Amino acid sequence: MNDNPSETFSPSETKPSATIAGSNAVGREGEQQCLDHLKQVIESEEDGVRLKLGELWHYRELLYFLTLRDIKVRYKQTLLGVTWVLIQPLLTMLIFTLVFTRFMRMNTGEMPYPLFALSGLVLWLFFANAVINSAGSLVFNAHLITKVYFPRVYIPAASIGTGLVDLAVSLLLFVAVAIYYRIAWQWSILLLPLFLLMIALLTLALGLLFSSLTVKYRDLRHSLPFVIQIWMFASPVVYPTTIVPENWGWLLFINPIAPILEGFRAALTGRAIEWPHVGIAGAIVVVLLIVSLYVFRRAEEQFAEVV
Amino acid sequence: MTLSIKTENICKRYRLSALHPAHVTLRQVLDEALSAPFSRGRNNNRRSQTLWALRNINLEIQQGELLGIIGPNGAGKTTLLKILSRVVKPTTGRAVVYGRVGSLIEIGTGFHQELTGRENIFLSGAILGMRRAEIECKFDEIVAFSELEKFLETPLKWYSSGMYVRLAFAVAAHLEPEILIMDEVFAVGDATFQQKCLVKMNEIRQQGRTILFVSHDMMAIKEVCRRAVLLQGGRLVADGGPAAVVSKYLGSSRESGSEV
Repeated sequence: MNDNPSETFSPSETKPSATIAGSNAVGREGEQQCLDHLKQVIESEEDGVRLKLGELWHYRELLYFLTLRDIKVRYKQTLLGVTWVLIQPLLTMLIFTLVFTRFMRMNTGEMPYPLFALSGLVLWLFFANAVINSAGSLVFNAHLITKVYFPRVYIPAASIGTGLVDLAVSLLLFVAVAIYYRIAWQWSILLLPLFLLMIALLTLALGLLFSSLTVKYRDLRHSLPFVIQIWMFASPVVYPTTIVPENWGWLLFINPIAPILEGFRAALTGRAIEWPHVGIAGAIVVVLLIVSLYVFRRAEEQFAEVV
Repeated sequence: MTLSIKTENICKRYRLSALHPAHVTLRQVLDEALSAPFSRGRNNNRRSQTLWALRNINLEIQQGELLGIIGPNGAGKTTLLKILSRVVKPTTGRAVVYGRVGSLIEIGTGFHQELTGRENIFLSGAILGMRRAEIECKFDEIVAFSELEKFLETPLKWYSSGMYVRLAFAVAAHLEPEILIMDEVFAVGDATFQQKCLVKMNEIRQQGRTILFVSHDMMAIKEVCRRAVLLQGGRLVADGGPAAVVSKYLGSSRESGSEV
């Protein structure tokens, strides 16, 4: 990962070599800051990848616009679109409640099963839906990618943004159900945002990774939902970790979703949180995020040609 | 005069690969998914053919020039514009660009059918590179230029093609980049509209901005441009006054029998 000095897109690296000084009817007063980086060099990046974070910052408003677009379009197209955000976790929770309390007995400790399942489902459905949507987002927005330049990261990021809005709505549902079950609120609920942050970053990492891979290998769009489904059963979304036998314990160890879910529930009920596991999950998330950012930036220059 | 764009030996190669995504098996996907991000197309599939869309393009464009780019279909004009607007990267060579580039490679980039005219102005403006504050500031001007005041709250899917084009160009015309790249955007729109666009282009040039203008409309090229270049087969074959370049182009296309 070389630091190739050819791409200059940060205000701190202003090259005084060429200024559009003379005829400065160009640009307006309010945009002086934008005109600072005047010189750009366009060439093929043979080796190394640069994240170009300055450029990401410059285009930050796009995240807002693209997320807003996705949300508006979804809600304009179908009336059910609004309520689906609530129906999906609710209905799934009811089905699993039926299976795991009537057909067989599941012990979920001090949390009543419906609440237990809902806590897992709200987070899981955000994760699953956001990853799958962002995986297909670049292909879906091919018409933009082939015509205009802006950092492509914002396209899958907008899908995640939409997912976060949905998560916020379903969390409201969750709070309502928690109140119904008269859950005793502990101080540890202040830790909830930590777990939300972790799952959001994990989702972002996988969204970036899969969206860039899907551009070239289209069949990922079909295999991904299948993989996610398997992953769901390998995670304590609808069942507690206590029912996992000893020799399968490693699965919960390497699966970063497990400590996030368990931590979320523990923070809710005031149970002790297993910090070593959470720490490992956190490390996995951070590594995945960095790797996915680099993979994405590297693949980015090919998108317009391959999509 | 100060330099606006300088290209140095730009070449662009496309691989016409036999590996079409539809035929890739899961096993191949796994294989390649692991090595592809690191091989960057050097992973040569011997069955693939290559197409050189651009060869050794060396061009210097001064600030404030209105350069016409002409040539037959497939000559590489759009590829060159895409490279300059950073949509694709050159295979070899480099370009140095001074200033922001606004690219109008297609009319209505960023528009979404389900959103209203107003929402699309903001969305498209943002995608084309305007700040939100800038769009808000120019909103009334944009609407006035498009003459679509009454239809701002109507979803775009109900617009006629003429309205669509007027809105799209109204947004694009208020981009204020140092360099504006336009690719055959006048292929749609009636005569009045085209005239309006040409007037606007002159205004933009008088503000000191550089414009690159790709068109098949030889009249428009001769009318507004003071310099033109001809691309054929990926190479720059002529560069000079528009009248001369246009007649060279028409002459050669008459010889080869291809239509203008």
